Amino acid sequence: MTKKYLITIFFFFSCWSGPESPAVQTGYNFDNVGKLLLNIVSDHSNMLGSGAMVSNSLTHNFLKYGYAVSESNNNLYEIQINQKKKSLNLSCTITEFTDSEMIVVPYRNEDRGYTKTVVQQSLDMDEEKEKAQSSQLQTSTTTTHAGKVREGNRVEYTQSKVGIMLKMTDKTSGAIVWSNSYWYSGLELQRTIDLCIKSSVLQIKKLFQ
Amino acid sequence: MKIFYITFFVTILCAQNSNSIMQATAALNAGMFEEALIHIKEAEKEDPTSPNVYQMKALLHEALSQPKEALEAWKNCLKYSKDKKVKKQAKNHIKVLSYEL
Repeated sequence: MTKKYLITIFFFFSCWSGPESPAVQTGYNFDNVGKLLLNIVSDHSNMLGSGAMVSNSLTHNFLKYGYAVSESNNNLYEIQINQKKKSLNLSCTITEFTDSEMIVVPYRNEDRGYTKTVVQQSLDMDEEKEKAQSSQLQTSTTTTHAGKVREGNRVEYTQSKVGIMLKMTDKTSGAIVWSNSYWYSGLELQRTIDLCIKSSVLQIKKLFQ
Repeated sequence: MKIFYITFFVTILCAQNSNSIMQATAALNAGMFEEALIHIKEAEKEDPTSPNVYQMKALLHEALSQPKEALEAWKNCLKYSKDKKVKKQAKNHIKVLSYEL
């Protein structure tokens, strides 16, 4: 009985590769791949020109990480990995593209109260003893205000959010060999796109090393 | 006169406490990220366990190209947040920024 449970648990963990890891065709040899053909990236319904922004960021990042990038006649980009013969089609789908995702920050308007102390001092000469001794008269008044806490206030600001889905298919067989999704958020749209694409390019780079 | 000074000082102190997060948000919305960062640091001092403060701080550091500080703020955000969505965001940013550093 215990053995069965153990086998089931082992089988479950061996199948589950985690939510963030890519799906890879088992047994596919990425060492033979010499070229990636980047397909045209379609715009997201939220923003015209988003496809071009993502496409340009992809080519920029591939170039930045040492790959030769060239544009072919039909507006496709070729990313040279090495001199091997096999080619993979790289397609990118924009799954999320917004520059106005609201972030609500609830805060407490907190009046922390105060403690106010007023000290009055005066010098009185002790005449009875006719000595040059002085006694100090001190009066202090302390007022304490507990303060008040008002809850339910909130402030708002917006952030950009970009999500992409990348897919690589073998040009000759048409089989999907690799696929993964990425997303990122930030205050500026361009920087958000760049960081999102950067993490994907770095992962693709690891695939061909 | 002495009482007046004390009262005045205490009033200013209380006003600063409640306003720093508002001031940070106002500066952020105006695109003044450096100004916003100054105010959010004040808010952090007042409430060092607020995940919202760390989230805003991290986003500001990222916008100002300070990945190391951003990473630190995201780690604190993850530590104090109970919101699943914010935790997911923090984890994703930590992962990407760790690549970068």
